[in-house]
Amino acid sequence: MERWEVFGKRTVDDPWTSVGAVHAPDDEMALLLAKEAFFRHGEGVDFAVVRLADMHIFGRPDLLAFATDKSYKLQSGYTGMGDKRRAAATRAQEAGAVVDRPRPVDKRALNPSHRRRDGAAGSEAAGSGAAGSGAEAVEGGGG
Amino acid sequence: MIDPRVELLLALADDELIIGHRHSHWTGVAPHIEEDLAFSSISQDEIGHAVVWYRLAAEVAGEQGVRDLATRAPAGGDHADALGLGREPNGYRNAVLVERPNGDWGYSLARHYLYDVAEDVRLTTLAGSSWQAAADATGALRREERYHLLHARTWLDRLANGPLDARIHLADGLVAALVEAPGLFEPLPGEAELVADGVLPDDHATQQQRWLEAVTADLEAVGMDHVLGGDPHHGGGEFLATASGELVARDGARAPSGSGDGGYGGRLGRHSSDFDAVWEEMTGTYRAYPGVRW
Repeated sequence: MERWEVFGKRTVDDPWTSVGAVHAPDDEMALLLAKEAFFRHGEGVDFAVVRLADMHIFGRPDLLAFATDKSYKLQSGYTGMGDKRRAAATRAQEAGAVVDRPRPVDKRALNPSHRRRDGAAGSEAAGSGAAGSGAEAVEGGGG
Repeated sequence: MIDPRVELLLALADDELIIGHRHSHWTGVAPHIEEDLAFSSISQDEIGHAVVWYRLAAEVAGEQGVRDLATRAPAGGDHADALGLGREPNGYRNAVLVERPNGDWGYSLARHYLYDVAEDVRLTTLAGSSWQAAADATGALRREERYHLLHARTWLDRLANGPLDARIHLADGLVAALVEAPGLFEPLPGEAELVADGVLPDDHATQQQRWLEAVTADLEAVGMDHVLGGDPHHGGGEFLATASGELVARDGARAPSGSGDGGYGGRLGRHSSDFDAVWEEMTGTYRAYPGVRW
């Protein structure tokens, strides 16, 4: 029996996300089984199945490994940035630099689809009047 | 006199740094976003390779040697930064080819392809070096190089077989880049000594021959080996099928740009005015704040 990869969408605007796989003889049966296996708790608004044999697999793990230090591509390569920014601000102040205009509005806070998992409003948006508007993200419940 | 091994590594590293910097100029403006990311990522890979070679060069040269080379670098700073950013323009050993502006997408792709085949040949040669540290360093770099070649060859194939316009741009780019590509194999100061010691198992003339064979095979496979003769479009009379099936005659070939000396001079620190622009931009922050770390 063939293996079918199953992809779902939580909302219509979400990208297809892999949720698992089923074994089935044809697409009709695969859809049927996938619904029961992965979408019986309101996990999303749509799903799709793709024959594993139809997936174009890269299959070159050697080409995905880092050959040199690539920490600059990872979040962990940017720890301590707050301290650096504060140190730079202090130096700028000591050198006599004056901030004479307000911070630009943080547009992320104005975008209702920008959901923040930590529930915290962007501190940089303070004073923009829009702080906190994106804080109501709710994780989908399990079943 | 500078240790020939340092000359060897600086030639490799400077090529990587400068082509990496040129590739990065596609960031934000490449024809489509996936390719924007691909060129940017390859750019970072190449600059990462430069760092590997600068570190090894610094081990050979020593603190004083690095300071002699990198006259703008402060004492005690990072050696890779010092060699990469702290030298005068005539201290850089990169080939002229890699300092040229990106031009259009056809030239960028053509140069990327020709350069990465050359890098593959050079790294494969160096993998057999009697100098163990250099041979060892090639291992990881060749892994990334395989992807660069895959990327370059896939595009070469697509543009060569693509719509007429793509093929024309690629042919023009290949001719222009081929004129200066021999500079990638310009003999190094002290090359005879490197070869005699087995540090460089094959001289650059031999490597260039190997490179040319690989390039010829690839170009033959896509029916574009005529560009090797400096003629992008079969003497101006090539007929090509357009996407609609129409045959279109191509008008006279554009004369290739370039200095006419095979792109030589880079290994001796002689560069085109295009290098100055890269150097000004690349070292601006370092010159304003020597030794700065972000």
